[in-house]
Amino acid sequence: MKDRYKQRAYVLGSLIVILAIIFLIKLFSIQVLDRKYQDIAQRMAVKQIKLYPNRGLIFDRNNELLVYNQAIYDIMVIPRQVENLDTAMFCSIFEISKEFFENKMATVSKDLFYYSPSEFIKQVSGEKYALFLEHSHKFRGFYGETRTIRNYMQACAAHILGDVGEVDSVDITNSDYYYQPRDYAGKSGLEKLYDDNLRGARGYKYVFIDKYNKQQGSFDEGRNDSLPSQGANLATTLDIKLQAYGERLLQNKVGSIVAIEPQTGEVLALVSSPSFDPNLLCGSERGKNYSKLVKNPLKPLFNRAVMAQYPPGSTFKPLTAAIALQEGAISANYAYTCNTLYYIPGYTLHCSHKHDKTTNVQQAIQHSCNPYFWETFKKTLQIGTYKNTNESYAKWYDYATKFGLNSPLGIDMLSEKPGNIPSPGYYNNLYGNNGWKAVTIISLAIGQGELLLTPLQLANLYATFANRGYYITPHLVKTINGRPNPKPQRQETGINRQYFDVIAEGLQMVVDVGTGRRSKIPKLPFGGKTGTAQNPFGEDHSIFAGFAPIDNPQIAVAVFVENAGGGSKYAAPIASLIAERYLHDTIAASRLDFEQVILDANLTEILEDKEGEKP
Amino acid sequence: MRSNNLINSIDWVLIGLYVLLASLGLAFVYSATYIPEDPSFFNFSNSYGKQFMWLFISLLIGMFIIVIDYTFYTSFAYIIFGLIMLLLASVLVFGVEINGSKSWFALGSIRFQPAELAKFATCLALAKVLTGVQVNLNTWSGKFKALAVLLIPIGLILLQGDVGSAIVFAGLIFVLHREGLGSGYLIIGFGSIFLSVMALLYPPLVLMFFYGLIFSLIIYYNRKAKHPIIGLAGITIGSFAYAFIYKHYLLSLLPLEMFGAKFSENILLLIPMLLLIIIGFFIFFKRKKWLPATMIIFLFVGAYTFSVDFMFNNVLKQHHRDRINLILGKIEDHSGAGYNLFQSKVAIGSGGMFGKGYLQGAQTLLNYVPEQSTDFIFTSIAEQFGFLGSLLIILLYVLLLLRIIQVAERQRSTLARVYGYGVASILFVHFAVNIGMTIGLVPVIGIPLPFISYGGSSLLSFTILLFVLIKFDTERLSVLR
Repeated sequence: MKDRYKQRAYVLGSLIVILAIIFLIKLFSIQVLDRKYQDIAQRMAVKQIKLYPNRGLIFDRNNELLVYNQAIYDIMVIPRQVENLDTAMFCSIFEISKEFFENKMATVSKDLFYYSPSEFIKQVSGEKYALFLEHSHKFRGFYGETRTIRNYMQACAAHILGDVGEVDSVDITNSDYYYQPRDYAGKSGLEKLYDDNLRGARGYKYVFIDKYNKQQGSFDEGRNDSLPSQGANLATTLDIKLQAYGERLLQNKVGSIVAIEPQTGEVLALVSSPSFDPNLLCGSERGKNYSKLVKNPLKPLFNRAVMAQYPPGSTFKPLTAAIALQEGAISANYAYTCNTLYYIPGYTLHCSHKHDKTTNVQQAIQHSCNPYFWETFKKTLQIGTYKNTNESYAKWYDYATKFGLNSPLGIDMLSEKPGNIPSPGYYNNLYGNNGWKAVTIISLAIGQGELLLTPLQLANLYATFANRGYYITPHLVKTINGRPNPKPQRQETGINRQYFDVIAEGLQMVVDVGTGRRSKIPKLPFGGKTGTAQNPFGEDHSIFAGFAPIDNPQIAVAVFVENAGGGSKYAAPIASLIAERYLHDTIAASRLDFEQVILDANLTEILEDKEGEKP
Repeated sequence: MRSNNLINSIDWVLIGLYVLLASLGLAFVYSATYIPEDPSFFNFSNSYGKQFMWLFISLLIGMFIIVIDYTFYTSFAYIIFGLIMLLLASVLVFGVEINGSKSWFALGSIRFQPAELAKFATCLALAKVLTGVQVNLNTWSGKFKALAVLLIPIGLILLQGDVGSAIVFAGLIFVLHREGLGSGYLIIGFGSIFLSVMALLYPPLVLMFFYGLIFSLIIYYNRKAKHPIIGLAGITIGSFAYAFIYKHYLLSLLPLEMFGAKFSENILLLIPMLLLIIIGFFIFFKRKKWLPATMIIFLFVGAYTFSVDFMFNNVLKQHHRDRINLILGKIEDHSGAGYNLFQSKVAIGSGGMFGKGYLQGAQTLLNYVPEQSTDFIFTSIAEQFGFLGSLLIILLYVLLLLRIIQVAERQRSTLARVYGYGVASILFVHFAVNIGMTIGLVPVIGIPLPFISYGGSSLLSFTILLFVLIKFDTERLSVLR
């Protein structure tokens, strides 16, 4: 048979050659021209493993450990690899319901998540994890990742220490993308403020991973790997025993205690009550506990020591006197006869109580004589040195701000409030230029009117009195990894030392024979001033601020107890107990009953009942 | 001196290419299944060891094929075909299901896929059928007989659920074409695939311009053109000018919503384009005799292109469109259906020009590429040896295929020639589909790369397929017809 179709041999032959050329062009383009596949391969097969450093520990001033780390485990899953799973056992180990399991599985299996690791159960304890490992062959596709969370030795100082939690998008942006999703970072308190120090530096390990996400040896023989470096330890200025004692004293009360070592500005205790156990905000229950705390009507998350602002009441009077003395408006021996009434044009004001004639500043402080300080304040503003009230008040205002009032002191706490001293401008706005006189704003003299102080500012004010005229910026961290925290600064007030001696004497008389005599501490020269802040919503706030020992002060303390009545009723006893406990390490036997009364007092019942009535 | 004759008449080029590909295959299977912790060579429990054993068996059987008389294959062609079709049928009953297709016999750890042998049997039977005196592929009965030989294995293999193997048999259309089947079948078949793919890949405007140029060139090569260059330039400039006017002015002027935006856009493109090209043809090309036929084909091509485009955009659902776009590479999917292709391209692409070195292919070692010792073995070759390695493998296949065609063409007997063509067609489809799918030119269809992919039955069957041809070739001088 003649082969008519011989020519057709070229059809298949040329197809083969054409196809080979097409293949080679395509191969050349993806292998040689296009570099993206090299990058993808690298990214896919080489995994960066973060090596987390241990977060720095936190100690108190006596080297007592406050915060440490604890290992927990996140259970991760790659849904694609899950097979022959013993679901019942899995659920029983982690104490989850089948519904939870199925819902979670559905969520992590969506779209691309199906192929990548997802968090399945957060923060599993070591025991559960050990159980999981024992049976891990039944849980293919699941594996554990070690994480560390914080634990607190004592159930106190929650507001100061703060907490650590999973980062959110804001944390990530604020950290300049150092943090990545699922990382833990300080969320409040010192944990947040000193996060840069505490977190240390991450290390990295580069390994090959196969498609099962299993590590298969190190990449480039470990040349790019780096070790993590441990976070810095913080030594705080807190005396944890004092802090705990303060929290006990304020239990079932709403209020605050701030204790400062005057010479150094170190904060010994910073109590805000009600408080909570910081361990509540660790571990898997964090979210639940947090929302419980948010909903609590007594606002335990609110750090009253630096965020609450109260009128200081009579505790402010010594400052009125100090400024008047410095300005020469009065002398230390200025006498004023108080017949319990004080006349200003249009009004008649009253002294709070009957007392003997006051022949000097010390006695005025002892008796907390309102007319004496009104008169003193009026003299200060009407002194001939300045053109008008406006200018002399500006000078007065200037003094007040030098005591750290009307602006945050700059303690290492977040959201510190500034308090309030009205500026001359404020009054000009309110009454018009020259529309106001000393008597218009006379209530400032006795710590009322627009005056507002935080408990920290009040404690610092008395630390300044104790130092006889200066203060060191109060702070909470003494050293970072053994190196001094350089923040503290000496702030001068411009008022002569001798005037503070006068005030100190008056303050001691308050406790020895004056309004605070119930709070006298045996064998300890203790001085302070009681105060009462009128509260339009209920019982007055009880206030006290003082320091001890008078001549060589080791501790300045301010106490606010909300809705507790006069300053001598709760605040002064609490302050005296704090001072005694700090300086004597124990409470004198004669005062134990007195202490017990304070500890037992419950001032929150009424508040809670009131909350309960609300619809 | 018969044995001496035999040795002299063996086509050592084919044997050499075979040995080269099979040994390279062994080395690649070793690298694709290599575990750094267990580099043992001769362990018959691992893939490499098994493949080594199968190569040994294949060589023995190859020798056996060459030694026994060739008339065994010619005489028993139908019996061999029948027996293997029986195997194909019985695998439906006794076979085990692997990866969704019931196409394997399992004897202990050894598995065998009769569809591989069916390629050989079908080639042989087809050769025998086409040798028949009465068989002429230009007659309906001839076509029917040839088709019957093809449809039996295709049907049985489709019943097993093994679409990939079934497609291989479609490649035998080259044999039929070579033996006289009208070229129209081939042209229509390939033409419609080509036009569909192009219509899906590119906008109709660009395509029509492109086709217009091609048709102009065809007519130009009829050598009757007066001013071909001016004509082409005119068409080109005119098209671009129109495209510009269209894009910037017409679209905003005309009430597109009247007939539906898409339809109006197409009409706006099509009519002037056709007018331009027709005018171009009439003015610049003299041989008017060709015009009607060319114009009809051109119109048909245009209509086909637009209808594919229309079907794709208006009839198919989004998930269909996604799947097609995935195959066409218009979208990339790194997880679901596109996972295999993506991983394969990453491994190949990361090989670069010179490759990462033998046993140094990270993507291969880390098992990112699926089926990397079997269907995707080309991936690990390209990763380890780069573009140069790919080039070598492709050259070896081109040489092998062209040599097979050459050998087939020098046969005096129709049977041997048809058989040789069958071998070439089947290996060609394997080569085209297997390498094509690893680089994303062809949809992922699981068929092995001949002589290289891991798999005993495939290696053995390809060996039989090739060695029977070599045997036929040794006898070419002693065969009269």
